[in-house]
Amino acid sequence: MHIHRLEFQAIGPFAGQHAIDFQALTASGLYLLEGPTGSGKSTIIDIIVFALYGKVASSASSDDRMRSMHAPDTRDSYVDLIMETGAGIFRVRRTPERMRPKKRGAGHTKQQASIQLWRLSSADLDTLMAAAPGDEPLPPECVPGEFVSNRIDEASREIGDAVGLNRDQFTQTIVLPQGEFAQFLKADPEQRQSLLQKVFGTHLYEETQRQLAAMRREVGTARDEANRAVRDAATRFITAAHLDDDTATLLTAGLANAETTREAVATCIEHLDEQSATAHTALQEARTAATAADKKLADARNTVERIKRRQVLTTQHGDLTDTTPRIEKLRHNVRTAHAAARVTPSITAKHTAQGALTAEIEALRALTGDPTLDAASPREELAAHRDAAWEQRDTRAAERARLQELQPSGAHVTTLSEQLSTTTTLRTRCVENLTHVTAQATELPQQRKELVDALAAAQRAAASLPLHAAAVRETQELLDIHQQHTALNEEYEHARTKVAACLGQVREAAEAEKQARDARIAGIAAELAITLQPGDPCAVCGSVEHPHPAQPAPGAVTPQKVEQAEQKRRSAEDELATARNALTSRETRIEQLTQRLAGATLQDTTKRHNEALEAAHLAGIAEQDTTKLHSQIDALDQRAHELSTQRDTLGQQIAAHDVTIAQLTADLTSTQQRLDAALAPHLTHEAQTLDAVIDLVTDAAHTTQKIADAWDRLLRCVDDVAGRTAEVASLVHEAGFTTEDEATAAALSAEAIDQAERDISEHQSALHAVNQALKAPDLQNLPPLDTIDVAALELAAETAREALSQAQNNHTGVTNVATHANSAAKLLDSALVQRDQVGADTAAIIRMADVATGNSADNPRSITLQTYVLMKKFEDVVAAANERLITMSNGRYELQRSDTKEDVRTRKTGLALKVLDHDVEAARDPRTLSGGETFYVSLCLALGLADMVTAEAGGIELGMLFVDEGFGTLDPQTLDAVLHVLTTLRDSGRTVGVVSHVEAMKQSISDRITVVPSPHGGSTVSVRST
Amino acid sequence: MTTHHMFTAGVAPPHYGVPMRILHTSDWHLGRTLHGVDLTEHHSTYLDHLVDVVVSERPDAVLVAGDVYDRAIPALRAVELLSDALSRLAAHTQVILTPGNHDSATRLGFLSDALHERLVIQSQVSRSWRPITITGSGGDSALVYALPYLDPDHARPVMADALDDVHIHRSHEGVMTAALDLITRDRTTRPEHAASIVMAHAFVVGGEPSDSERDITVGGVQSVPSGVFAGHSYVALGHLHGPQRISMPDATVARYSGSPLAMSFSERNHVKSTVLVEIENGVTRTELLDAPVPRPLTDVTGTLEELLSPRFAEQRHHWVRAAVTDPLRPQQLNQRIREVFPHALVITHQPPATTRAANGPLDIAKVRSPHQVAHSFITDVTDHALTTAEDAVLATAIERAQATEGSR
Repeated sequence: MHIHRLEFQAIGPFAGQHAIDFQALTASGLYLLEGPTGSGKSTIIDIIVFALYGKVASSASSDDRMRSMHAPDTRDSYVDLIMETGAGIFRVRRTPERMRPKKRGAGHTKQQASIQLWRLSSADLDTLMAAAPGDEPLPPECVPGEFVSNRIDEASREIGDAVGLNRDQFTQTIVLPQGEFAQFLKADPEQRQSLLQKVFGTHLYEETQRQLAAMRREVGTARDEANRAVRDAATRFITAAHLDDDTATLLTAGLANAETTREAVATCIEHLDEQSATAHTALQEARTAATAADKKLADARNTVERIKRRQVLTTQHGDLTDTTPRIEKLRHNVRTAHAAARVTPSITAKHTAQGALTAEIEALRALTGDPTLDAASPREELAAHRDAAWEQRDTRAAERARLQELQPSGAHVTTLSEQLSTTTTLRTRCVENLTHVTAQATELPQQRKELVDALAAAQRAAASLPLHAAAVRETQELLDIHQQHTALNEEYEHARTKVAACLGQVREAAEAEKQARDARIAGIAAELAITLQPGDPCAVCGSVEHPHPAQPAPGAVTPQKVEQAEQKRRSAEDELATARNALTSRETRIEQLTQRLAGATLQDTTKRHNEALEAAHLAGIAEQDTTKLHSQIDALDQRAHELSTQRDTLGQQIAAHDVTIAQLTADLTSTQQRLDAALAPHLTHEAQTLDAVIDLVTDAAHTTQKIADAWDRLLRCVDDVAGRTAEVASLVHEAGFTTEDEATAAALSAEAIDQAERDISEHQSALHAVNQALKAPDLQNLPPLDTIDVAALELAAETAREALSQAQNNHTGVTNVATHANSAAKLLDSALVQRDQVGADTAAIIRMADVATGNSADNPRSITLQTYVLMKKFEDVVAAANERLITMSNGRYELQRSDTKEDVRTRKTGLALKVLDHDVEAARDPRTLSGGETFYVSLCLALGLADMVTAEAGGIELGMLFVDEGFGTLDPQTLDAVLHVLTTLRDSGRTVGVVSHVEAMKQSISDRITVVPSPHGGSTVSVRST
Repeated sequence: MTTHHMFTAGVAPPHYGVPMRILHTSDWHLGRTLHGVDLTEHHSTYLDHLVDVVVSERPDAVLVAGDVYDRAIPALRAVELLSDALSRLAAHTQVILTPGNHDSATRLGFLSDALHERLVIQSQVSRSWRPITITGSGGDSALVYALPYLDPDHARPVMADALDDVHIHRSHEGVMTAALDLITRDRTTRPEHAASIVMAHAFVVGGEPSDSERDITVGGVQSVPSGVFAGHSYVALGHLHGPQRISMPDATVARYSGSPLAMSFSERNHVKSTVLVEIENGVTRTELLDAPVPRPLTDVTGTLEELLSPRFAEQRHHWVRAAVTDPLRPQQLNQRIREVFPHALVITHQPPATTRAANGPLDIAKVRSPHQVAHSFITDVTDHALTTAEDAVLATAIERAQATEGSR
C-alpha cells in the first residue's frame, strides 16, 4: 500500500491543522521524520496506524495520545488519510474519542469516536490532492469519492480487507514501531505462522488440504459402499442359486478374495446348468407323447362328427321331397296371377269412366233442369245439345260486354251531380254571409253618433279640471289657517297664564326685597357696631365711644342677602316682560289670521274643500274618457270600412258560383239522357240501374258457360267409356281368359305373388344344397359309429398332458434358477470389479489426503501441506533477508529456519528462527542478539519479507515501510550499511520513512518531515521534498 | 577581504616563469573504519606521506577538497590527526580546506576566521565566491574559489540572496550553477590574476562512484553536469573516492583526487594518489603522486581448500573479502579462513547456483504453480514419486480449492 496524503488536526502535540503530501516523499523513496525527542515524530506514525485501525501503533501506548491537549476545546480532532492499495484508493477520516465541553450546561461529555470512509477514483484523488488544507470543507454531497460507510465496524472491515493485514500484522511488516521492530524476529512460530499466512495468502493450500480431507471422506464412503454392494450381490446370488447353507457360508466368508469367489460362483453355475439341461430333455419327451395322444383323439372325434352330419342331411332331403307337390301348385297360381295383372288395370279404368259418365249426366240434368237427358242417347244428339249450349253462352257474353261499355258514363253522371250540389251549397253560404255583413254595416252609424256625443261631454267635463284644482288649493289654504288660528289661541292662553304667574312672582320678589332691606336697615346698627373700633368715630353718631354696640341679631340680613333679593326681583321682572311680549305677539298674529279667514267657519271650508276635490277627481276621469272615446270612434270607422270590403268580395263570389252551377247542370242533363237511352231496353222491374242490369246479364252468361262446359265433359266421358271397353276386351283375350271376371278372379296381390315366388325358390335351393352336401367326399365311406371309442382315447390324452405339464414345471423351475443364478453371478462379478476399481482410484486419494494432512506413515515429520508451503516461503524470506544480512554483518550472521519446537506445548510448524553466528559456527536464539544487531537483523527480515511478498501473486503489496528509531543503536559503519540498504530500496519501488534523531541520517537523507516544537507548546510540521 | 601573500618561509627566492604548483587531495575520512577495522594508523601514515610530499615538492598551496572527517562529530583520534596534520602542513605551505558532505561545516569551520592566513578553512557558503589569492613562487597569483559542500536546502537561500532572489532549483545542479555564476562574476572583476581554481565537493557527471561514497541524492538526482565548472584553470573535486579525471567541454582540467586510502572493497583496484597541479601560462598539467598503501584490499574466491592453499599465499596479509564456493558450507568456515587470512574482513559462502536450488529454498511463487508446489510437497515429504492417479487427485483437490477461493 502507499499513502498519498495525510491530514490531521489537534492530534497529539499538533494543535493546528497540518497536511503532509506523501506523494512527493514517495517519489524520493526515502525520507526522514526528524525532530527533537517528544516533539511528535512517532505520533505521525501513530496517526497513520490510527487512521487505518483506530488504535495507535505501539501496543504500549494508549489511545489517549490522540487527542491534542494543546488544542482548544472547540477545535475538533481528526485524521484524514488517503491511501492506495491493490483494492483501490481509499480515504478514511477518523475522529478520536474525546471529552468535549457540553453545548448546554457546564462540564464535559464524551464524544464518541467516528469514522468516514470513501472509495476514490483517480480523478477524485487528483481533486483532493489539489485542495489545500486551509480550504473550506465541502458539504457532504460535494465531497469527491464514493461514500462507503460511517460505521466503525463496517469501515474497519473494509479497510482491513483493502490493506490485507490487521493491526498486529501491519505493525510487523509495514510499520516497525519504536522498540517493537523485533517482534517478528522474536515472535513464536504460531504468531509467525498467522502473519505469514496472512501475508502470503496460503489460503489456497489450506483449502486444498481441506478438499483432500473431504475427498478422502467421500472416498471412504465409496469404498464402504462398494464392499456392501459386493456383499449384497453375493447374498442375492445365494438366494437365486438356492445354495445350501454350507456353500453359502463358504461363499460369504470368501468374499474378500475376488478370485475364489468367482470360482465358487462358476461351479454353482455349472451345476445349475446341468440340471437345466436334464430337465429340458425330459420335457421334450413328454411333449412328444402328449402330442401323439392328442392326435389320436382328434381323429376319432372327427369321424364321429362326420357320421352325424351325414345323418342330418339325409333327413333333410326326405322332408323336402315331401313338399314338392304343393310347390307345383303354387307355381301354377303365380303364372295365372301374372296374366291377370296385365288386364285388371284396364278393367278398373273402364269402371271408373263409367262412373264419371253417370256423374256428368246427373250434373247436367241439374244444370239444365231437364231430367230427360240420358247418357245412352246417341252421340250425335248429345253433340247437338252441346253446340246449342255454346251458342247461348256467346250471346250472353256479347251482351254483357256492351253493357259494360256504358259504365263510365254512369260514373260521370254521379260526379257531375256531386259537384253541382257542392257548388250550390257554397253559393247559399255566400248569400247568407252577405246578408249578415249588410246588417252589421247598417248598425254602425248609429253607434258612431253615440260615441261622438259622449266624447263631446267628456271634453267639456275635462275642461273644468283646472278650475276645480284651484278651488282645491284655496280651500286647503284656508284649512291650514284654521289650524294655525286654533293653535295660536291656545298659546295665547298659555302666555296669559304665564304673564299672570310672572306678575305674581314679581310681586313676591319685590316684597321679599323690601323685607330684606328693611331688615337690613334694622340690623345695620349691628353691622356698624361690628366695625366700631374704640376710638374711631362712629359713622352714624360720630361718637368715639361705643358703650353698647348693637349685637347682631340672629338671622340678620347681610347685604348679600339683600342683593340676592334684589336680583331675584329683577329677574322676575325680566321674566314678566318676556311673557308679556310673547303674549302681545300672539295677539297680533291671531288678529291677522282671523282677518284672513274672513268669517268662514272650519266646517264650511272643509265642506267646500271636499267638494272641490271631488269635482277635480271627476274632471280627471272625464279627461281620461276622452282619450278612450277617441280610440273607440276610430275603431268603429275601421270596422265600417272592413264590412264594406267584405260585401264586395262576397258579391263577386256569388256571381262566380252561379256560372259554375249553370255549366254543371247542362253537362249533367246531357249525360243522363244518353245513359237512359242506352239502358232502357234492359230495364226490368228488378234491375233499374245500369249496374244492376250488368249484374243480371253477367249471371246469365255464367250459367250458359257452365252448361256448355258440362256438355263438353259429358261427351268426353262417353268417348272414354267406349274406348276403355274396347281395350278391356282385347286384353282379356290376350291374356287367355274367356271373360273379364275370370281375369279378375285370377288376380292376386303383389305381396301374395312375391311370397309364393319366394317359397318356391326356397324350396328349390334347399333341395339343391342338400343334394350337394350329400355328395361331399368326407361323408363317404364312413365306418359305423359304434366302432369308435372316444372316451378311452380322451383318457389317454389326458394322462399324456398331465405328464407334459409336470415336465414343463420342472423344467421352468430349474431354468429359472439357472437364469437368476447367472444374472446374480454377473452382478456379483461386476460388483467385484467395481470394488477393485474403487479400491484403485481411492488409493491415490487416500494416500494424498493422508500425506497432506500429516497423518500418513509416509510423512514422518507430520508436516501438512500448508505448513510445508509456509515453511518454504519462510525459507524464501529468510534467504532474502540473509542476502542483506550477510552484507550488514560482514558475513557474520545468517538467519536460519529451524524445525525445532520452540516449546513443549507448541506444535511443530517449521517456522522457528535461529541466528547462525559464523564466528563461532553456532546457532543462537535471536533473542540473544544485541540491541543494534537485533535492529538490523529485524530490518533485514522485514525487508526480506517484503521482497518475497512483492514477488508473490496473491499476496499483499507492502509498498511502504516505516522504521521508528533504532538507528541510534548502530555504530557508524553499520549505520552506513543500513542507509545504503535503505537507499537501494528506493530503487525497487519501496518507500521507506525513517524516524530518527541521528545526525548522520539527517545529513544523508534530504527529504524530510520536520516536526518542530512551537514555543507555546505543541508542535508543527513542515515538509521538505521535491 | 584580505589578500594572502605567499610566505615562502625562506626556501627559495622567487623565480619568474615558474609555474604555479598546487597539491590537491580530498576525502581523507578521518575516523572511518573499514569493515570494522580502524584506519587511524593508515591515515596517519598517509598524512606523514603528505607532509613529506609537501616538503619535497614545495607546492604553493595544498587544497583539501572536503570530507576530511568521516562523521559530523568525529572521534577524538580523528580530531587529533587532523589538528596535527594541518599544523604540520601549514608550516610549509598554504593550506585551503573545505568541508565535504561527511563533515559538519560549522564544526570544521570553528574559529576559521581567526586562523592565520596560512590555513584557510572555507566553510561558509556565503564566502565561497570570495577568492583566496595564492601567489606562486614565480610571482603569479591565482585565485582559489573554495566551495564547501553545498547542501541544496541550506545553500539555496544564501545563493538566492546573493543572486538577488533568482530562483534556484532544489538540486545539486541548481546550487552549483548558482555558485559558479557568483564565482564567475567575481572572477571577471579580477582579471589580473593568471589562473582561477575552483574547489568543489560534488558528484560530477562522468565520475565513477565506488561503494563507499554516501548517497547525496536531493530531488532525485545527486550529480552535477560537468559543464558548470567550465572556464577555470583547474577544478579540484572531492567526494568520489576513485582518482579520476572528468572530461570537460572546454580546456578546463577537472579531477577527483580520490581518497588516499581504499575505503571499501570496490576500491581495491584503485591506485590511490595525490594530485600535483602545475599551471603555467594558462596551461594546466597534472601529475599523480602515489599514496602509500599500507594494506591492500583483495577479493578471493574459491573453495575452502583452494583458499587455504598456497595459491593465495600472497594475499594472506591483505584485507581480504573471501567468497567460499563450496557446495555446502564448510564447518567452522569463518575460523578457518581467519586462521589463514588474519585480516579477512568479509567472509561469505556462495555455493554454485544449481546445488543451491536443489537444497535451498524453492522459489515458490515465481516459478511454480500450486500444482507443482503440491507435487514437490509430496515428493519431499514422502520421498516417493507420485503416480498418475495421485497427481490427478492433487490436481482435482487444487481445482476445487481454487473454485472455493474464487467464489469467496
